[in-house]
Amino acid sequence: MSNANSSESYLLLVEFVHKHLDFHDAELQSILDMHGIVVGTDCHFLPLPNSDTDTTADGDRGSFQNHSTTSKSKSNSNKRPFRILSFAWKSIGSKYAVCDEDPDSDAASPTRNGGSNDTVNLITALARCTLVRSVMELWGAGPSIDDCATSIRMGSSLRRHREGRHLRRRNIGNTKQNDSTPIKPYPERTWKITIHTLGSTYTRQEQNEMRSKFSFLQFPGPVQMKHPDDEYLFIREVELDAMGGAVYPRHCKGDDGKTKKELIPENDARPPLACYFGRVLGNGTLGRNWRGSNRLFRYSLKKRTYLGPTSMDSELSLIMTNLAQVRKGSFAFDPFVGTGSILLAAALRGARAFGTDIDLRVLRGRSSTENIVSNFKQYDLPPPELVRSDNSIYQRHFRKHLPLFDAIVTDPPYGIRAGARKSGSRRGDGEARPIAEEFRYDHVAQTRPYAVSDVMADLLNVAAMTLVMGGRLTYVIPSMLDFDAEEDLPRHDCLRVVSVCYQPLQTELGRRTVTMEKVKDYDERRREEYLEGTWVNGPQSAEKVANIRERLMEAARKKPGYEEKAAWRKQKRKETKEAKKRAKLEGVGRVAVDSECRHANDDDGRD
Amino acid sequence: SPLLITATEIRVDEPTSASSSDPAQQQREIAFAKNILPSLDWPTLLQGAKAMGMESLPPMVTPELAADEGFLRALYHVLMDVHLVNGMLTCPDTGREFPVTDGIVDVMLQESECD
Repeated sequence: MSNANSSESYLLLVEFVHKHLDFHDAELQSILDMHGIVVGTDCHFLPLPNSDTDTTADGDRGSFQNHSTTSKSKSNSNKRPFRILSFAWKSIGSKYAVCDEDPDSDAASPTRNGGSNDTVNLITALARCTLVRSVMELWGAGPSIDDCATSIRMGSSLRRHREGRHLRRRNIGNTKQNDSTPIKPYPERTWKITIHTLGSTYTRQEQNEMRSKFSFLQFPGPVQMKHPDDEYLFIREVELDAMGGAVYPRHCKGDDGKTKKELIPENDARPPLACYFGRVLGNGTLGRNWRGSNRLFRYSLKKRTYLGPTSMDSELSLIMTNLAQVRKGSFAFDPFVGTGSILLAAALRGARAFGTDIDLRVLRGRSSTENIVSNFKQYDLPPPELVRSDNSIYQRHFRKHLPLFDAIVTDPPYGIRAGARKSGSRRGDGEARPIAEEFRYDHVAQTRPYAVSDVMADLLNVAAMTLVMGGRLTYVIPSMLDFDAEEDLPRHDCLRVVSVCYQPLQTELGRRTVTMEKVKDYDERRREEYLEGTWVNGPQSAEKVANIRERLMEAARKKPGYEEKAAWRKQKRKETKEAKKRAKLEGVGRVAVDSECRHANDDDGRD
Repeated sequence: SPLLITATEIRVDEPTSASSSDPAQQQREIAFAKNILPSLDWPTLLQGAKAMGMESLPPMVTPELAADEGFLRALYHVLMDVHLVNGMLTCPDTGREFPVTDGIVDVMLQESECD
């Protein structure tokens, strides 16, 4: 890293969590772009030390089209959980801020039409990434701890930190650049050095030896273990396997699965992949573990009152809202809303939500306290607008030529879980029985199966019609490894593909989260042409998606959380059945006995 | 043509004192209203609001109004806090009715109306 700390650059090290590997770059770029930070112009990705193993080091342009090869899962296990971002030093403290601010403040909230001169707080921006574990100001890096220390000596980070110009907290609402809250002077700042060794454990003594390599920095203030002003971080990176464990573990495991503290000498002697040293950002407001601070667990599915078999896991929903760049005050749409889990994520980002579904029972939920709206209420969010309609004839329901939505985020029915439906008689002869006037609006229109190729063609066309220019569609599509994103993805003349992220579910089975952006106005006269052009390779691409129903069911059964959901549903059905049975057998006069029975049942260990 | 609203039951969500004094919430409302204003068909909105018992909207939106935060917040309130819980949407041309039940609008078409 010879150009590591040139006086021109300010470097950030982004550490990702070890899941959804294929989503890291797509989510990061999407968030950066949302804040007006263009990779390649406003900032650059720098290669990591020892980066001949890093398949995405050349990712300045973020060429996501390449992330579609069948060997995706293999290259992901080589993907390292770090990114180095390089900014122009002179932009820090002016165009970009790195000081702690109230993370909920709207001071840096991005607007679509914001050609704003407002300072963008990089911490607030990056904190939105679901997959970012932490961010630090990178002082030095290298293929060994000594190289890392040397690169610090050769750089300007310590001097800059002593000067502290870029640390000043900007006064919110104040337009004068020079007006800022003074920070604690350097000689008084408390500090500590945290050691983070990926996939390996080191003794306290070993850690202190690592710390001693940085004693040349000679921080004047006192060491403070809890909530210091400055937390420094030394990271020792090694090769990780797909599960996030070390490929060459330092210690061998005992037969009981627990680590026996026996060193494996040849592994222990291996040099690290990289060593990094820097100062943790967001220390005051976020702490070092940003994900914990985001309190994502609050939104976990477990706590939600209304769930169904198709509820999208909350983490993927949140990631989707980032890929779709859902902003505060925007309008988000899910045409296949189901139980509303994706819309909920959009509402958590501050959007107002609109959802449609063909299935009235799903829209209404199980009861007035267990439905989509009650889920929103549970999190104190404004309720979504819900309409029962058929996406395949969207233009018959709603006013045409109305680009209204900033984002469309959805998990379409592929005939896999919910059994995709659209309006129209099951009788293929096209003859429909006319309904008498007085019954008209109570009649539940019959539905018939909705071919996957049509689901996607209609979805893309509705997106092209209803998205504002620059608005995004993010959807999930299950696929086998034989699915080639170049050829098999549905296309639309008005939309361009922004990213495709693969999530393996089973060996050959996974799903892709596709993001598209509206780049051309919709022309109603070309409607048939748009629909015909959806599949580059013809409908057989769609069939690749449609024929994996059973295998996806298998994969879902193996997923964590499925057992709980299935057991819960089973329990509920049992309870409802028993309650109905009791009500039938026993009349009103035996209510007292009935409640006795119920109490007795409660005691048999069921919680 | 825009559907006519027959309202049987309306619910107006009054903002809690907490949210109405929360500046972040106010900014969200203003941003949303500003964002959606260009897409609104004002005469239709006036008509719909009237059917829902809201007569407070101005007959026209001038550029000054469009930039006024008070107006934008009031617009947000009319758009997003007034809910048709039960009622009917009727097409003035065909008489076709679309029911609204428990806040959910059902615009499903019959088999004969589908292609």
